[in-house]
Amino acid sequence: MSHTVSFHTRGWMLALWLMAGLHQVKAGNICSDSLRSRQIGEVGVEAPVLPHHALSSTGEQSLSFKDMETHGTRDLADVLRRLAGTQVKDYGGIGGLKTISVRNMGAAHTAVCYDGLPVSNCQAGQVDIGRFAIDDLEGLTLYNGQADRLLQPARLTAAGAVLSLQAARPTFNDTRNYRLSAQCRAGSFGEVNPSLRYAQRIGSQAVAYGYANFMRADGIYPFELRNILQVTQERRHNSDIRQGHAEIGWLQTFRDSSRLDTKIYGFLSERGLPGAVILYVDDAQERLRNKNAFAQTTWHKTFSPRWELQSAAKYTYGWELYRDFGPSYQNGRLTEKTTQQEGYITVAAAFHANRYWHLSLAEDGALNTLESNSLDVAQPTRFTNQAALTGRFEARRLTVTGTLVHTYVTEHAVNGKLPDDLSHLSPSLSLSFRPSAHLPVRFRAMYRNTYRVPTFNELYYRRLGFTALKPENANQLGGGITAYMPPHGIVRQLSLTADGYYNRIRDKIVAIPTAYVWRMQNFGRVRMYGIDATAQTSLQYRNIGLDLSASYTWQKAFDATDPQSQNYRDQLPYTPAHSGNVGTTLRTPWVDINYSVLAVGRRYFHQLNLPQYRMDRYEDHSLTVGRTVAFPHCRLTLTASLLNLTNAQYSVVKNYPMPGRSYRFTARMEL
Amino acid sequence: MKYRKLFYAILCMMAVNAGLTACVDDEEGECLTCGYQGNDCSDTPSDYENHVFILNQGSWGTIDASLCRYNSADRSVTHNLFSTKNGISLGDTGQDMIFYNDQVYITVSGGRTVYHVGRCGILKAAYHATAEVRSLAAKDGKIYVSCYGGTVLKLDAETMEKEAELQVVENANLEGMAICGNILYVAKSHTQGENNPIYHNTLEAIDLTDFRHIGTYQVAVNPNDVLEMDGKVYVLSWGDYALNGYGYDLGYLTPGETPSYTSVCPASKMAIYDHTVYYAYSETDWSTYTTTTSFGSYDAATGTLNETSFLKPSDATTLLSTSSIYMIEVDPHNGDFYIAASDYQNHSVVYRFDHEGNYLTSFNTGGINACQAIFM
Repeated sequence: MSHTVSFHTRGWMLALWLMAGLHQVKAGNICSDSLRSRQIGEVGVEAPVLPHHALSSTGEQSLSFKDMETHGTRDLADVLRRLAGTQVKDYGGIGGLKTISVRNMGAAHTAVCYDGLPVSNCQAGQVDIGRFAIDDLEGLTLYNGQADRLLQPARLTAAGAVLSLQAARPTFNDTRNYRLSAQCRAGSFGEVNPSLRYAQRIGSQAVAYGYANFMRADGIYPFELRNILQVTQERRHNSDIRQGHAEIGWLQTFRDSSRLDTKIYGFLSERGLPGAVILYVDDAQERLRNKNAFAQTTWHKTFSPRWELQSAAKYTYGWELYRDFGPSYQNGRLTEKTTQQEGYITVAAAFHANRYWHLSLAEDGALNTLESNSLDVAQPTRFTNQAALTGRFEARRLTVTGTLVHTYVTEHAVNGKLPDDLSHLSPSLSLSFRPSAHLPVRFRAMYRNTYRVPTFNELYYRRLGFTALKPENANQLGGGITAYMPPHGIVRQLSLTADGYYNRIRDKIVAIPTAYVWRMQNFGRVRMYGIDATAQTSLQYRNIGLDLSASYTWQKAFDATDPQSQNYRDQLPYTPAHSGNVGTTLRTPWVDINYSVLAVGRRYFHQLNLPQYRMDRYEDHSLTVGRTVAFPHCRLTLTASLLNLTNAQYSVVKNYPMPGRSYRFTARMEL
Repeated sequence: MKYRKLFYAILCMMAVNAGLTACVDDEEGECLTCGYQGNDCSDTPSDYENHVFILNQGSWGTIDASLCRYNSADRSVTHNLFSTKNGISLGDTGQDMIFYNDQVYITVSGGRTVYHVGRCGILKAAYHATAEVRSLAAKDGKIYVSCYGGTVLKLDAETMEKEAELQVVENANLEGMAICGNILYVAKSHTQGENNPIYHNTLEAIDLTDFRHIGTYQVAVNPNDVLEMDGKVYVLSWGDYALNGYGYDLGYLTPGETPSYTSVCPASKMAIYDHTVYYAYSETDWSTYTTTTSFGSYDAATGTLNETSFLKPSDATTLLSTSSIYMIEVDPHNGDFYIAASDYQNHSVVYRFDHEGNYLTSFNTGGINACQAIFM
C-alpha cells in the first residue's frame, strides 16, 4: 500500500502545483496585457564569459562537433573514452557494441538523451552508442550526476549520469534561406560514409531540415594474436557493417516565442558480430540486424519571466534480429527476434519566484512493450511514472539545488510470473559555491540517490531472468573544484577542474551461477571512489592559436560483497586505476593540426586481480590535419586523420581486439 | 582457415620442441622439460603414480582453460602446467579429460580441440574439430569424442588423426559417453531450437565393432554425464531446469535385449568407485539465493540408496554443503574423494577427503571451475 499512499500524496502535490501554475500563468498573461512591453535598444556588454561547466554544481564535460572533428576520433565511443570518469565498453571494429558507464555505476545507470529526450532500451537497459555518428551531432555533454537544467524530463533527473547528445541544428546567414552540406568520408577497412544535410528556412519562424547518411565497411582489420609465447598476425572477420540513418525535422518559433521542435528519425543496420577471438577457431557467423525509429516533438513556452513550460512526446520503435548458424541448432540456425516499443510523454514546468528562487516539476509517463522469442513470458508491458521536483537557490556566488524523484513502475504480461510494483523516492542535493567574487574558483558538492529498475532481460530472459529482483540502489557523493581564468594576454581561456567521488551500489544486479544454471540476483555490493580532473587552455598569438586539453581519471572500484571471497576488494573488471587523455591543436591560417593521445593503465578482465587476468596498459595516438577553404559561395573542409599511429595492439574488452593503425579522409562542402 | 594453419604450425613447433627437450638428462636424472626428478616423462608410469591432473574449465570466451597438477603424496601443486610446458594456451572452455594407456586426453569445447598430452604435460598431438567437442571415451587404441551437432569422432589415440566420423543424430548436442561391452553410449542432451532449447531424453548406442548407430534408449530428460560400472550405464540428467517440471536425476540403464532405465535419486554430480556411485545434489533457493548440497551414495551391488553423507563433519564439509558442487572425483587407487565447488569467479579449491570421509587437505587449482580430475 505504501506506493498507493505516496502516489496519492504526489497526486495532491501535482494538483496543487498545476492549480498554482495556472493561476500564475493567468497572472502572467494579465501582467503582459496591462504592462505594455517596450523594445529597448541593444546594449553591448563586454564581460568574460565563463565556460558553462565552471558554474555546474555536479560536474560536466562538453565537446562541440568541431572539437570532435579536430581530434580525429574514430567514433563516438572513441570520443567518450577520452572524457574523465567514463568507462566505455567497446567490442572492437566499426560495428561492435559500444556502451558507456560513468564512474563505474554501470551502463544502465547512464541515461543517453538525444535532442533533450531520453533514448530508451527497456530490454537491455544500455544504449548502443555506436549507432550515433559524430557527424550527426552539434555537440555532447556528459553530466556526472544531474544536469543543471531545470526544465528536463524526470527520467534524466533520475539517472545516475546523463550523456546528452545534441543533434546538429541548422544555422543561416543573411544571404541564403537554405543550407546544404555534403560530406564523404573514406578510410581503412573499406569504410565509405557519404552524408547529405539540407535545411530550408521557411518564412521567419520555421526551419525544415533533413539529414541522411550511409556507412559501409568490410571491417577486416589486422591484429596481433598472442598465445602465451606465440605471436601471430591475424585478421578480424565477420566484422562488416552496412548502416543508414535519416532524419527530418521541423523547428517552429511561434509569435508568442514558444518553440516547437519535431523530428522523425530512422536507422537501419546489418552487421556481422566477429565474437571473441578464440584460439584455433575463426568462423564466427553471427549476424545482427537493427531497425530503430522514433518520432518526437518538444514544445517550450515561456509564459512570463516567472513561468516556463516544456512538454514532449516521443514514440520509439526498436527491432532486432540476431542469427547464428551451426550444426548444433535446429535446422542449422538460431534466431532471436525482438521488438520493443515505447510511448513516452513528459511535462516540465519551472517557476522562477525571483532571481534567487526557482522551482520545477517534471512528470514523465512511459509505456514500454517487448515482444521476443527469448523470454519466459509473453509480451511484458511496463508502465513507468516518474516525477521530479526540483528546488534551486541561485545567487551570484552560491547555487543550491535539491531534487526529489519519485519512480513508480508496474508491469503486465500475457502469461508468466510478474514482479511486484515498485515505488521509490530518490533525494539529491547539490551546491556550487564561489568563496570570493575576486577569486576565480568555484567549489561544488553533491549527494544523489538513484534507483535502477531491472531491465526486461534481467526479469524475463529465458532461464536467466528472475522476477523477484529488486532495483539497484545507488548513492553518490561527490565534490569538486573549478578554477578558471578570463582572457589575459595570449591566454584566451584557462580552466581546471578536479572532482572526487564516492559511490555505493546496493542490491547490485548480477548474473549468479549455481552448478549449471545462471540467474540474475541482487547480490553484490560495490564501492567506487576516484578523482576526475580536466584542464583546458587556449592560447592565441596573432593568427596562430594553440588549444590544449587534458583529462585524467584515477579510480578504485571494487566488490565489497563477501570478505571470504578471493576477489574481495579487488578492482572491478575493465577498470584501470589510471587513465587519461591529452590533446593539442595548432590552429594556423593555413591548416589545423591536432595530436592527441589516450593512455589507459593496467586493468583486469576478471574479478580476480591476478597476473594471468591482467591486461597491459596502452596508448592510442592520433594525428589529424584539416583545412577549410572558403569560396565565394561555399566552404570546403578537408580532413585527414591517422588513427592509432603507433599501431598499438590492444583490446578494450578482452579478446575483442581494436584496430591498429588506420587512416581516414573527410571532405565536406557547405553551401 | 588461417587459424587451422596457425594451429598446425604451433603443433609442429611444439612437437619439435618436445622432441628436443622432453628427454632425460642422464647425469642429473631430471626431465629437462618438466623438471621431474626421475625418468623420461613419457615412459615410466610409476614416476607419476601420485600425480593428479585437474582441468580448470575457465570462463567462457576468455581463453583461460588450464591444467593443474597435484601430487597426492607430497601435496605439491603446479598451476598452468600445459601452458608452461608448451608455450601455448589450452584454449577456451575445458570440457573433459580422461587418462588412457598412460596418456592424457583433453577436450576444449570453445577451441574445438582434442589434445593428446603426455603425463608430464607435454603436448603430443591434437585434433581440431569443426564443431564443439565435448566428452571422451577410449578403447582399443581409439579415442571417441562426442560433438555438438550430433556427431561422434573416432581418433587414433597416438596421432589424433581422424579415422571416422559418425552422424549419430541431426542437429542435437551430444554430451557424456561411456563404453559398456563393445557398445558406446552417448547422451543426446538437447537441441538449440530456433526459438527455445529442446531437451532430449535418450542415450544413443554405437557399436564400436563397425562404428555404427544401433539403438536409442530412453532415460531422464537432458542426460549429460554417463559412466559405466558393472555392466550398467549410469546417467546423470539435468532436466529442463524446472521449466516443465523436470529436475536433476541420477539413474542407470541396464543394457540387454530389453534395456530399461531405473531412476535412483536427484543428483547433480556423480563419481563411481568400488561398485558404488557417489553423488552430490546441489539445490538453490532463488528467493534467498542459498544453495544446499547433499551428499549420498548408491550401492550398485545391492541396489541400496544411502542418503547419509559419505563425508564426515568438518569445516570443509560445512562449506561444501552450502556450495554448488562442480566436481566429484574418486581416486581409483585409494578411494580418496576430490570435491570442488564453483562460483564462476574465484579460483577453484579442491577439498580432499579419505575414503572414510575424513577431511585431509585442500588446494587451489589456479583456475576457474575445476571440472575434471584424472589419477595416474
